[in-house]
Amino acid sequence: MTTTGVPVGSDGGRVPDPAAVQDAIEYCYERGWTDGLPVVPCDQALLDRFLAQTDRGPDDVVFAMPHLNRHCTVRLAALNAAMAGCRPEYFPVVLAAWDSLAAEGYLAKGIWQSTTGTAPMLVVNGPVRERIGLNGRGNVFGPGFRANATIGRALRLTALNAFGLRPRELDQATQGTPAKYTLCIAENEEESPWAPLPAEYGFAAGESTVTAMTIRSVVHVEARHTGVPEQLLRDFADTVARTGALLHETISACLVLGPEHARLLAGAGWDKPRIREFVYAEAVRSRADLDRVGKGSVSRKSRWRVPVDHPDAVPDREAESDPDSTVGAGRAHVLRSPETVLVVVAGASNSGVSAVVETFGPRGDRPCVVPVEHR
Amino acid sequence: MADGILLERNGIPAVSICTEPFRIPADAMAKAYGFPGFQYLLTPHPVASLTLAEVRQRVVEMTPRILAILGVEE
Repeated sequence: MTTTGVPVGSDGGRVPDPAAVQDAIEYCYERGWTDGLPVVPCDQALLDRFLAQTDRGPDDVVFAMPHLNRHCTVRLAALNAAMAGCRPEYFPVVLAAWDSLAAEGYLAKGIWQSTTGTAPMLVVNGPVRERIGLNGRGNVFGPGFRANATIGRALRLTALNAFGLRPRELDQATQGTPAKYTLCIAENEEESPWAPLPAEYGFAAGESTVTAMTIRSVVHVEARHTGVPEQLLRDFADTVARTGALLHETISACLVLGPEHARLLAGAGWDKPRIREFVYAEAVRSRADLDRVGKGSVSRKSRWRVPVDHPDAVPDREAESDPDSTVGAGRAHVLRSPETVLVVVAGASNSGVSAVVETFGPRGDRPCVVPVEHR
Repeated sequence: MADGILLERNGIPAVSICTEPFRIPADAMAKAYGFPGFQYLLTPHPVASLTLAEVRQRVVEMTPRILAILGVEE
């Protein structure tokens, strides 16, 4: 401390008045502007620094939810990004995330109000990762990295504050997922043996992109035991095919491979299309397994899985086209096609750990890879 | 709720039905649509796992209440 009244830290830098900071934080809590964690108080000067990062106008609409009579402008998206703790230079990534989510389509259908309790997962590629310090290596799903933590959080705060999607009100999630706080990862392109995700969809190396996916769960796969590609991929396929994930007729998945697993597969000559084909073929349940958990048929209207003796039960698509798949040792694919499996590489090169991210989409459509627009 | 409100606004009498745990979201949705007093019907949770006979029982139980909201005199 100095005698001038302005607190100074041990390194000589100015230290904000703790009481004023605490008051500002509490002010935001009292107005219900938080996700439960403290937010960064934002004034016009900070907001202007965010708005200066984009050519879009402050009143341009980032995303609209007509079924709620609400929309989010660039200004509101920026305000919530600032409150989430983003630095202004993260804002183009936040905007690209909104564009990607909009293109994916689930948001406009009200998925953020659903009892399932989904969250968006953002996968960031390209040089912007390095520029803003986005982590794609060790502890990629965990804490410790400002850009990862705050870019994902910016979406959640916007959902709460701009769209009014508050828990137990318009957000009807039965349990939700920890990913609702934040889930933003970078692909570990440097340690991947393959071209990164956006390259599969025509984006050039050196282009920064965001790919948003509506997800339900991130399921770990512990596989330090084998060097046989088929054994490893069956471990992933069995994880994909768990019956608890089968709300709908089929599911989709994003395999987030640790670099060790990716190198094992690539070293044996496997590329992403071959991985997708194999996982699709192996991600199956026997008809007896499905009947055992009461998911042997689908509902005529919703196409949700129901017991075969349910009044609305009709055969699922596969049973309809191939009745043999329902008899004897018949099996059902839990994925609609190989294209419903995405492959991303992230994490540290220190162990045989990967993850199956259970996604709502794509169900065979093109993923929504969106370029990051810098001013 | 949204469907019920939109039908009503288009001149088609409608009664929205939701289970009891959805009362607060239902009220919030009605408010979001500028119709905070929208009358709707609550029924016990759950519905999705009911048998056909139980669903029929629910319908029997709810029908007079639906008609009451619609203003139909039996």
